Amino acid sequence: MLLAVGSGLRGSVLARSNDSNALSDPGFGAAEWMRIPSIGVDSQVTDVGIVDGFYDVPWFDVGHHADSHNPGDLGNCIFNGHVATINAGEVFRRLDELQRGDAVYVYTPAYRLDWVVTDTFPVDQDDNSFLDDTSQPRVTLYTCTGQFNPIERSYAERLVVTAQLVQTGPR
Amino acid sequence: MLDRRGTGLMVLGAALLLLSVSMFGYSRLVEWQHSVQVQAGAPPTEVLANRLPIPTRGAGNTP
Repeated sequence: MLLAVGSGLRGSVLARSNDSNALSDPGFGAAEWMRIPSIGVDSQVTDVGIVDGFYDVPWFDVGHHADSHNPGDLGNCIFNGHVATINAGEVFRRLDELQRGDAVYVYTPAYRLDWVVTDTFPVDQDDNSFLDDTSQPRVTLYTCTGQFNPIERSYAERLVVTAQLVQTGPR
Repeated sequence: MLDRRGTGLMVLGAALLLLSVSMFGYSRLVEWQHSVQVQAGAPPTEVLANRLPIPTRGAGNTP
């Protein structure tokens, strides 16, 4: 198992330019909790911003890119989380076990949004194309994968999981 | 001389191992404490399916 020193994963994905429309539509509201039963994720969601040019990753929670869309909006709603660390959490430790068809549940203050995994794939650490906006509601989850570089305290790749909205309902 | 160096390396290795294990254990403890603290804000427990059917068309409805 690859180990990293917690905040070292903070620099996992280079920040991209803000989308001024991302937070303008009230829609379903902000994500506050995520459950992925097939891999045991049951976590609070915390908004994350950009620190030193990179998206931050919460110590223990699932992180939501504050400049991405809210879940259910027309666009890409992006979440991150640690995979394996010595001194921080590992909320996405089993993200690599997700398969097409697995369910992801995102809770907002008033709604539960049900998503189904449609794709999982690794990308190079410098490939930020998975952060691009989309024309349909989409959830993107990512964490670190590949070889760990202890000097740079970063992994060589990112594991990306995308999910499509299935249904919504009140909590 | 070689024995001393070997012993020193063993002690250093053991110390590093102990430090790593301690940090890992401490982080798991803090993670557990954090999970207990935030459970107050968790949605009610409910039966959730592990898998869902993939829609053939995008479900883009908004409230």
